[in-house]
Amino acid sequence: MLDDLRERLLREGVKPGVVARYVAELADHFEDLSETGSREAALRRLGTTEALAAAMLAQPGIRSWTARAPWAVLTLGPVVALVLGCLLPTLLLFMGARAFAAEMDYGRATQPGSWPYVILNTLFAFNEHLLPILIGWAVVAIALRQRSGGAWLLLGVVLTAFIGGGLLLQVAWNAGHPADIGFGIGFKLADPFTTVLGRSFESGVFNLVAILAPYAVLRLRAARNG
Amino acid sequence: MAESNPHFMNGVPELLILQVLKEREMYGYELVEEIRRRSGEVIAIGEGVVYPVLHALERSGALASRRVKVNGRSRVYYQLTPRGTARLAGLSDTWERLADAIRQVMGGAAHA
Repeated sequence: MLDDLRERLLREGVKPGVVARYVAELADHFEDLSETGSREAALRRLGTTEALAAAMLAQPGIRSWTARAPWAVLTLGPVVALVLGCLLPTLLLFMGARAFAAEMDYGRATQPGSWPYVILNTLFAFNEHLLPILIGWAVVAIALRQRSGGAWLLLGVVLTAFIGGGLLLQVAWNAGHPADIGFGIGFKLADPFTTVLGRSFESGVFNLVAILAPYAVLRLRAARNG
Repeated sequence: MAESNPHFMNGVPELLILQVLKEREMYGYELVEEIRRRSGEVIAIGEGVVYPVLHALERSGALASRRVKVNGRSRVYYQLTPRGTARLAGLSDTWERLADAIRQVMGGAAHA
C-alpha cells in the first residue's frame, strides 16, 4: 500500500523528499500500530491510499519545480547547465592564464605535454565530449525520480545532445604578446546542413544514444520484471 | 462585524497538535495517541492527516523536527518553536471565541 502511495504522490508531482519522509513516517506509524493490534486493524487505522494521498495533496507548496515548470527543469535547465558548464571553467582558466601570462614561457606552454596544454585540452575534451552526456544523464535521472518526463524531457535531451555535439571551444595565444590570450566558445550549427552529416551532427547522435542508452536499459528491465 | 470563519474546523488538528507539543516533543504515533487519550477517545486525528499537518507546521516554522534512532528505527520527533507558541496563542484565542459563541447560541436555544 505504501508503495502505491509513493507512486501516486510522485506522479502528482510531490517533491521526492516530501514523499520519502511521509512514507517513512507512515511505515513507522504502521509498525507502532501493529505492535498494539493486528496488522489488518493497523491498516484500517492508517486509511486507504486515496485518503492518505488526498491528505498530503491538500497541502500547499509540496509540488516540485519539475511538476510546476517542467519546461524550465527538463528543457531549459540542461541547456543552461551545458552553457554554464563550458563558460565557467573556461572563464576561470582564461583569468588564470591572463594573470600568469607574463611569467609563462609561451614556447613551452604551447608544446604538447606541457601542463597548460594538458589542462586546456583535458578541459575542452571534457566539455565537448563528456559534459553533454553527464548533463543528459542528470536530467533523465531527475525525470525518472520524479516520475516526470514526456515532451519536455525529450526536447531537453535532444537539445543537450545536439548543442553539446556542436560545441566548439578554441584558444588563441598571441606569441608576440603573452598577455594577449583569447578563448572562444562557438557552435557548429552549419555542419549538418553544409556537409549533410557533419562532425557536430554525428557527435549529437552519439550524445543522444549515450544519454538514452541507460534509460532504455532501465525501461527494458522494468518491463521484464513486470 | 463578526469575523467570518467558514473553515474554522480545519484548524482543529493544528490547534490540538500545537497544544500537545507545547509540553514536550513527540513523534507522530505518540502524538495521535496522546490526543486520543486526552480527549477521552472522542477525538481521533486521522493517521494520514497528522503527518501532512506536522510537515506544514514545520515548513511554516511553527515546529522543528529531529531524527532519533529508537530500537533500530528512525523516528522524527517534533517540538514547538517560538513561532509555534505564538501561532498556538492565536489559534487558542480564535477557538475560545468560537467556543464561547457556540455556547451562547446553544444556551440561547436551551432557554427558548
